[in-house]
Amino acid sequence: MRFFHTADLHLAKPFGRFDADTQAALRTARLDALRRLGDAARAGKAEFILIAGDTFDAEAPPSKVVRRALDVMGDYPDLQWILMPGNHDSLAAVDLWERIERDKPENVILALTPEVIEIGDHVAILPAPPSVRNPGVDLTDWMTDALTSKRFRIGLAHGGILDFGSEEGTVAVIRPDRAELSNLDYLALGDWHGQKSITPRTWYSGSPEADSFKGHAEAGALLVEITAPGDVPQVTPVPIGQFDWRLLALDFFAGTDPVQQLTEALPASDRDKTIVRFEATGRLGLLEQSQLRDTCKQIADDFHYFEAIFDRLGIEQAVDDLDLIATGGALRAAADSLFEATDLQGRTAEDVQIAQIALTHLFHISQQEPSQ
Amino acid sequence: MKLRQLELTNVRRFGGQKAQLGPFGDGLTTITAENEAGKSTFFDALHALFFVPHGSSSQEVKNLQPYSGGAASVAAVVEIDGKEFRVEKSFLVQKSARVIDCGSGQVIKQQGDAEAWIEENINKVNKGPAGLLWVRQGATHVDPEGKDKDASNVAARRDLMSSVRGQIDAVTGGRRMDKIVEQCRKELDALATKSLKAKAGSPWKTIEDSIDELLQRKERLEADVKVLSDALATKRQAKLRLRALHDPQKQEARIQELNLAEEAYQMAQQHDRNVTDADKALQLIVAEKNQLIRQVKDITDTQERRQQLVDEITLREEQTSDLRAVQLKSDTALADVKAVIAQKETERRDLVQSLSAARAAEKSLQKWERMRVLADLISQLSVPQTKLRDADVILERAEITQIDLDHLVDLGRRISVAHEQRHAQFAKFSVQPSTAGTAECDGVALEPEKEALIDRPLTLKLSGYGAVNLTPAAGAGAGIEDPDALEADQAAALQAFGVQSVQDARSAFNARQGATNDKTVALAEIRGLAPDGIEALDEEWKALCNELGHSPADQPPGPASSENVDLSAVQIEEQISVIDDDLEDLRSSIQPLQTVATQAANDVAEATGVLNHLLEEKILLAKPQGEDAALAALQTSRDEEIEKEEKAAQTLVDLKANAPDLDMARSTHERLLSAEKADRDEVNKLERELARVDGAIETQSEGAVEEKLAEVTDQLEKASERAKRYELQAKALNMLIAHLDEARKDAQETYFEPIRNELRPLLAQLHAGADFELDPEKMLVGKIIRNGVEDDINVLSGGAYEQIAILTRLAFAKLFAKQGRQVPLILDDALVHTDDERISTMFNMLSHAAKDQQIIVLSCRTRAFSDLGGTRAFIETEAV
Repeated sequence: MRFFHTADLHLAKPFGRFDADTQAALRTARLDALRRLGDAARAGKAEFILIAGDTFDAEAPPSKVVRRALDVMGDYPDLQWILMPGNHDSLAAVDLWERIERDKPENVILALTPEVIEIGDHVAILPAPPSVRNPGVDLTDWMTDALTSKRFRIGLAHGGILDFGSEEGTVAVIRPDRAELSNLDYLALGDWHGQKSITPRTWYSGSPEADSFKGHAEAGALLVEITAPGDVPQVTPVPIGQFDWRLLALDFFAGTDPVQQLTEALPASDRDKTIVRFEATGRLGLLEQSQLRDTCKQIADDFHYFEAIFDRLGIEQAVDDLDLIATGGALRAAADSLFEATDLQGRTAEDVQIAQIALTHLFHISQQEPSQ
Repeated sequence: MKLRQLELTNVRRFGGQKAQLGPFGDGLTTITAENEAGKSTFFDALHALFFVPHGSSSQEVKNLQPYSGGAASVAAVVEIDGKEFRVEKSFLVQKSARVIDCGSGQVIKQQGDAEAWIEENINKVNKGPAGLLWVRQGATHVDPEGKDKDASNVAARRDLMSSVRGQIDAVTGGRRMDKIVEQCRKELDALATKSLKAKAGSPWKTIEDSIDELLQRKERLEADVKVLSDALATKRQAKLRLRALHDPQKQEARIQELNLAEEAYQMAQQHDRNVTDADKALQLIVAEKNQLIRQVKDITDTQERRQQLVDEITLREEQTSDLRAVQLKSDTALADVKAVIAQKETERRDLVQSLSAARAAEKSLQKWERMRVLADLISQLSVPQTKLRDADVILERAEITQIDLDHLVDLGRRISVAHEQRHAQFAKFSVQPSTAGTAECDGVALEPEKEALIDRPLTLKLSGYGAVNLTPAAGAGAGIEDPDALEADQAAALQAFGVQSVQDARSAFNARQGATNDKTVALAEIRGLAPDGIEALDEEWKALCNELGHSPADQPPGPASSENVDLSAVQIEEQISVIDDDLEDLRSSIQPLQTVATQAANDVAEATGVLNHLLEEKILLAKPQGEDAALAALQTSRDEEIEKEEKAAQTLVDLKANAPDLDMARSTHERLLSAEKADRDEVNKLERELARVDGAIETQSEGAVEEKLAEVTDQLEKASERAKRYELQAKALNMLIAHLDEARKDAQETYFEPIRNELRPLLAQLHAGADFELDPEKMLVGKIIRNGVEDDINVLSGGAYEQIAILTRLAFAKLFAKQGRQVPLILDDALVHTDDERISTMFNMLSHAAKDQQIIVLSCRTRAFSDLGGTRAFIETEAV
């Protein structure tokens, strides 16, 4: 028996920090992920697809998005899509689930109550739909006593595991040994956006399309195969995501080539599908900083989105750098006094940051106005 | 460099002419000419010669061309390092440039090479327009281009200063510093206000505005999300409630319970009706029984009453008879007493009449007695009255007092004395009568032989004789009163007293004394007899006479007799008093009698009434026929009803004992009906609520408010980060500018020291003790301090302004000279506002400076500048 396990599509997520183009691309990618899931499920000969919550990012997403998602699912009539609410689209979103109930195609099954859902004559889905955003209790308790005859017992839940935590830091209440305790063949979990195996029978599928710089593994879904009830499932991650979210937190120190360091850290291919947040830390000389900034400007357009943060990058004292501004005279005197102001001793971090910006700027302008 | 001569050919006002200006000496050269003589034309052309390429068609060059057109040529002879060169340029037509070595007369450079030579040997060496220090009227600038060229002038001055210091960048940062500061200022100005707030139009401001907008949007969206969230919660609750309300098991149980309650209620109602009916039946039986009891009782009561009436009537008749006897007795006693009272009252009336008569008689006797007393008094009064009248007669005469009497006596004595003294002192004469004649004295005939005194001059006429004048002796008569006057006084007094003589007067005096005494005595007597006065006595007398019908003129009758009166008034009054006492006793006794009589009458009337009533009742209650039989029948029926009543009461008690609780059954039924209705109402309400929240949910859902809120929150976070970066950037720029300014200011203090050293002694000659500040931007004097008062250079008077401008150029020229660079200083109408005293000082300073400095002074003030001295140069023209 084979099925696909996914969760946390967060359809209609706005991505407000990004420019309009990126926002649109990221939103579209999440809807496309649904179709790629269908394709992957077909390719993997899965009987059904479990979506373990947070299909939608909000309790009342735009009806067009809901319609579009249902249409995609309807385009795969040979697959059954089992949708369960998550914390973002919990049962409190009465209207949403009513609408889905009303508009869904036949191959979409809603898991809205903690009752056994029978798939064919051999699978029993045991859902634990969140009644509200933070139920605060382990909704999977009921699975232990659920009667399923000789069917495969597949648990479906959304939320944090007790000793692991949740994606958004909400209260984690699901027991990590739920699958074993309730005699489940597999417990399909949602909430954590990266793929995680809690036990051989308990998995977070992660989001099929990445949505943050949290550094999760490659976004995708899980193809689960169980030979017979009681057997340990074979779980295979299947890449689904389009966009690669990279958080580059690079620590620099004087004497290294920051440009080379950055270049090596950046992906060489598929840059147009890469979202980059580059956070520079450590200390660099003025010249190196200037070169690093220039490099960032040059390569920014290679990526779908590139953001560079230099707020925590300090200035390494180097007489050579100040000589590049001026070897003497008033200009050098100004540079010297500014450099003094970059010392944290007796100053606030913000004052030091201001002095660093000022000195960096002086350096930058002075290079445009070379001495004669 | 020194300028030696200028030559223009076909330039502006010198069209078709060649004009020369020069020669210019090593030191001071003055050119005085009227306005429009062409001075400015020379030096505009000189500027073009040095700084405008010969191939240029710029407006500056075109301005050199005269109206007639043609090539405009400019030439200058300059001395560089002891050698003279002629520099020539022809503009617009036959454009050319040449440099000629004046020593050899050879053209050493042409066209481009000539331009390069000029740049190399004149401009570059002298670092641009600093090759000329030119002060025009009202201008403060180094070259003649005015304020619009100030930047290049500043650069020239800075070049000079830098060359003086040797290390421009080492000191001020030079133009690089300027550019950096300028760029920073430009960037800061574009970004922030002076107080480092986001400036309108800046990207920072745009971000801040967008933050405000995002905050507002976020607030609105949060409200919308709240609406959505509330609506969803409401809907969920409503759905849960509806599901509970529509629970079929609950509904079935509700219906079953309601049916049972309704059945129980109906049964209870029926039982209640049965109880009511039984109660009503019992009430009917009781009523019938009571009716029969009353009827039996009525008959038996009538029978009893009938028997009682016989006894009562007998008793009442006896009582009535007794009461009538009492009434008669009391009436009689009352009548007797009334008769006695009537008799007594008659007696009393008679006595009262007798009393009146007795009192009248006694009063008449008293009046007669009074009349007699009055008559006696009147009679006694006549004597003193007569005395009084007589005395009054005497007293009515003129009163002669003792003093009057003494006065009269004294007058008589004095008359006698006067006469005697006259007789003694005055001569006397008398005439003896003659029959023949008469004698007159002062016209009065003289009695013969009557002695006459000669007491005054007298004229005695003697008939037949004549007149004899008689004159008393001198001093005769002195001290003697005039007896005539005294006699006249005496006579007048006597006449006043109405007497003839002094004796009469004495008698009158004595008589008056007597009359006064008599009158006093008489009045005392009268008062004794008539204390109220005679008139009162007379009035009483007359009144009594009138009352008693007696004539006042008659004497009153003698004393009256009292024999004809039976009883005195006192006696009668005593009798009346006795009768009054009797009457009072009688009248007090009549009231009880009257009461007794009235009571007796009432008792009789009442007894009679009662008796009559009893008699009437007796008639009324006369026994009818068949009364006894009817009574027996009624008693039988009554007993039957009593039995019925006992049975019906027992039935009712039994029913009540088995009655269900109707109120409870009703309450239960009503409660269940109410609950069912409440459920229906709640369902309706919830469905309406659902319809309402569906609308809200749809609206907010289609508006994608949650997504928008999340988006706005992200955007806000991003924008806040960006705004913070802009703020830091603004602060950094501000900090950078401050550090640059501070560094440059420190450097300028050092940098300006050479020019300060040159300018200070020059300014001291003009304004002793004055100090100044150099404007680091313009590199010229910016402020002047005199007597502690600081003035901006621009607010100084025209004279002071132009003087300082010239001195500053002199200072710069001295610096140039110290560098070995001779820079001509040209003053073009530069001293037009300076007064005579200071212009003289300025001339001195210019002359002094001209010892090692070429200075060319142009002025239209021919007379004033004739004192300046130095070489005189002139404009000379010739046709070409």
